[in-house]
Amino acid sequence: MEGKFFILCLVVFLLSLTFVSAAHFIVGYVNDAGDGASADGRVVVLWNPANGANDNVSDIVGPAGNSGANNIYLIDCELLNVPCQVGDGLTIDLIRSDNYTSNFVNLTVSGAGFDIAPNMSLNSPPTIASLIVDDNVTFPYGEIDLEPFTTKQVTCEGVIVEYDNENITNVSAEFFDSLSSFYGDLDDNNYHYTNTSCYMNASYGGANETYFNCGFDVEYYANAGTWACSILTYDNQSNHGIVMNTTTVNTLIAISVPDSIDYGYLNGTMVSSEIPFNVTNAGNAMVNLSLSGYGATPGDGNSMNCTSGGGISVGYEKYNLTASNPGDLTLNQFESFYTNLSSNPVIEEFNLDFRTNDTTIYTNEINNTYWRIYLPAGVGGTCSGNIVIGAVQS
Amino acid sequence: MVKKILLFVLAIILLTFTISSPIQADNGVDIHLEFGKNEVQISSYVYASELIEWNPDIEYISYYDEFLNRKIAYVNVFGGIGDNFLTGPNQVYEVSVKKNTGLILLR
Repeated sequence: MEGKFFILCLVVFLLSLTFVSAAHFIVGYVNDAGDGASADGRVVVLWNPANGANDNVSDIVGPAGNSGANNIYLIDCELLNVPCQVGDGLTIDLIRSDNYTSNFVNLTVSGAGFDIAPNMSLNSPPTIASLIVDDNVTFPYGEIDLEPFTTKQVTCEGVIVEYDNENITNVSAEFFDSLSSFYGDLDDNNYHYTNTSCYMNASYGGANETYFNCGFDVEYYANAGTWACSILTYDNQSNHGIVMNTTTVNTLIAISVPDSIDYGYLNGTMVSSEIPFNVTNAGNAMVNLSLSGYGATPGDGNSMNCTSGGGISVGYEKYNLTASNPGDLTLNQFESFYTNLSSNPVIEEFNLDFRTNDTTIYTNEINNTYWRIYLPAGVGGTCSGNIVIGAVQS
Repeated sequence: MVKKILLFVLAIILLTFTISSPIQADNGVDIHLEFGKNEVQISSYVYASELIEWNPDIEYISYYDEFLNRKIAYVNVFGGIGDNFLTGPNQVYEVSVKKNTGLILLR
């Protein structure tokens, strides 16, 4: 009986202690971002650095949080696992969301009922207000015209606006074929270029504006099609802004061939030895060949004009675009293995790929053609003529 | 012997209970609050914001809501922030004041 009475008293005593629990409130104000984004709805977290950030209490800024008031948070620091005490140092930070963040603040717990933390300000990411992607040929706008066997300077330039007046610390850019590549891909001259340190000029325009210019030396064999330029910029709060614009890299159909074919000294009614004649793709598209020839003027019916006996008919100069047939050949073999050159252009399938090897030139983009000529009787002296080789997209 | 021990424990409990008992406050009765935190029972139905308006020395009023399982508080800063709850009987509130003062419940 006595025991039951004791337990009853103890229960009553313990219940009396659970009615209230102590509190110490931390109150703070978070300013809206410079670009107008509201601080309300964002989460602030409080912790005691002495006990580590894992022991923390958080609140939502604004009406949805404990304060019920715009831009204000309200946290009871005695809800920490290790309740705060007078003299404790506390840190309050805003959790990054939507690329918005804030500077953290510190305060010391006082003996009052609450403490007001220093104001925080929501920091907006830098805004890239404009982005132009073009080469040095500004008309037509937004098209990249590559040039054979060389690079073309492509620039992505524009203006960054930092509404919170933070400093822009870095601007980087990637220029890539949007069909074959993506942002973050490895560099390859055919489809992806990176510039990690673009030019910046903070003196440009207004106080919160920064001009940037990211250049790329784009190779002649970069893929034709739609390309994207993505700009990534950071401010000194490590907030980043990213924006993308597209342009068109035009198809470049170009080939390179040796200056001439020298058949050497020939006797009459003799078929020359085979002369290899390489063709190199100097553009960014697979090509076939267009072939024709003339002696002195287009359409004269000759392949060469000679100083004695007139000219060599155009059909006596022949080519093979796929196979070599070395050694001496009879006229019949010559006629059989090779194709006649003609006065009118003939398109021959060649399917010469464009360059895809960044480190070694003359790999897949070069191929040989094979040529011979027949010197008919009665023609001699010094002979010269013209072979017209064109490229068409295959 | 057991009886003596029991009586001693009971005396200790009652003494502690008496010391920690909240101050009772009713309409029209001014209650003295010490600087810092005070536990108060308020029989009147008054909004927290009104209490703070009538008693500017209050820093905050709070209580633990067992139904919501969280602390409810109204803090006297930035014009009053937090939950503007309605006080009532059978609830103990923690009232923190800047200095010794009397608690005014009606004006």
